[in-house]
Amino acid sequence: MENDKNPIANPVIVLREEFDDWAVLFDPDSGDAFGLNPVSVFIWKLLDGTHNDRDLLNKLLEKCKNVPEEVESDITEFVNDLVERGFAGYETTVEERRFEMDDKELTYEKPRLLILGASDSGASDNAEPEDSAMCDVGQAAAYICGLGFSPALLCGEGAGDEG
Amino acid sequence: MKSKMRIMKTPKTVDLDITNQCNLRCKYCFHFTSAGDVDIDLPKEGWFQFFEELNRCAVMEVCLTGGEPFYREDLKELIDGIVRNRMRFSVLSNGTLITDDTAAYLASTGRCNSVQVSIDGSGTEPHDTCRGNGNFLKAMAGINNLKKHNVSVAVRVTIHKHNVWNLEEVTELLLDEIGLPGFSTNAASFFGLCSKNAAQVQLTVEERSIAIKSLIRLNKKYNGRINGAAGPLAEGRIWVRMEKARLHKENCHPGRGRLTGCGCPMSKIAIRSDGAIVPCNMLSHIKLGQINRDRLQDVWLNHPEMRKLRVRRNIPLRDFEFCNGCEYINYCTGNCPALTYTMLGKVDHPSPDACLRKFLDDGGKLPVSY
Repeated sequence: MENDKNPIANPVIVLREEFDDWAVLFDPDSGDAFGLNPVSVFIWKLLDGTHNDRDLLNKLLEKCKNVPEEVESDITEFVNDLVERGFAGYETTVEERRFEMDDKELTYEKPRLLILGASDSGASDNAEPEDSAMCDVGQAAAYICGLGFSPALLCGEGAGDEG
Repeated sequence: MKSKMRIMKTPKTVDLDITNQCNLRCKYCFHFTSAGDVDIDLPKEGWFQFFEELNRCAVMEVCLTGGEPFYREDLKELIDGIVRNRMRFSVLSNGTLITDDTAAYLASTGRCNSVQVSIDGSGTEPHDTCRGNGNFLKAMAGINNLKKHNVSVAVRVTIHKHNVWNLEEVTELLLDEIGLPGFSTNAASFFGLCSKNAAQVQLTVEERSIAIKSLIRLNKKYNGRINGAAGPLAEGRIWVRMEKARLHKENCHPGRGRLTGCGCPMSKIAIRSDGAIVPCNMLSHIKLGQINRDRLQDVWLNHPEMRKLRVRRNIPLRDFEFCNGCEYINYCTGNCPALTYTMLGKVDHPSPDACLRKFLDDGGKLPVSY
């Protein structure tokens, strides 16, 4: 890894964690929202100005088993994407905000920003699922961003208990 | 077997009754005389503290309502607080107080999703009959100010006795003359002042049939640029689908046959102008807590009333005597719990107002071709 600078998350960008370990990364200035898989969430939480790409890799290796060979380039690509979009940068001031990290092991999935569209596109309260493939983007993230997930899906058919 | 209900960790959107004050008293206002009509406006400091909590909860959007949000003299300061706390916002307004300066300010924030302005007719008569003299022109001026500054305008047409014959003209005004991309519709419904003035403003079954037919026709003519989550257009669409399903003896539609009509408790919550946390500003009698005293996330995840509203969707319509023998039961959601409450005094029941069988039994007609 060539980049030894410490990326830091743009403090204006909102990380909205959800019940299925996915999250929504929300840019309030543009209204754009992106789905983050659990590996991406893990990396995002480390963008506090104290970890360079090598640190991110090492932390991820501690957290995930069976990571592929291309994990280094995956991380670099992800961080670069964040930087290009203005979601992260290389400022020298250390961001004070800290996220809670759990000890749960992660299954590796390539970290990436999944474009979900503008948040205000408006999830219809009564919409029915339109595309079961959207399960892949995290159910809550998809619902939040109006991709056709319904409250019924959040509840599960025949739901009776609450989590 | 029961499956686990998956609840967002915090609400995505929060509706804020930012004020209980309004410069108008529209005859079908859902707010005044409702349980949300509390004569207290939380001072700005209280809202600022709450906005910080919303930031920590990663709430994405607040919807400012009231009363009339632009009636609050410190509204700009409040919006600055929303922006500071990483949220976007939308506003529900009667439009009459939106000056050029106000619109310029909204645009300057870069965070305004939309301002919804109520326009109920193509001219003064159908609009001002229920909203007061001079208010059509003021609301139109408000829209022009918003458009001048490129603030997204979302017009809502509330359909009632005095504009049901004006739907073609108001559509032409909004879509052809003003050039809006679309507008939404609903109907004067049995809430607040409307419940007191029902005979003067609410549609009869015949008028409702006319509104359904007109709106479906106009929406077709304007390529789907009219929408509605409630009111005659929404009812017309759903009811036509239900009638087709009945005729073809279709199996139970997904998510139907139970009280699934409201998904709001899965993604949003509301705050009254006195700071009381409520599930919805139309269920403002259900007080769940108080902002800056009770943690929003605790209320959201754990309050028994929120749980009750969420599991309401598991209640089968066949359990209700009201639905006995109904051929539409497998295609019906029971509709809005708030309207059910104002009509029957209870939430866990299908809404009589949204009942297709009752509508047809009372002489209502659906469009023959759609």
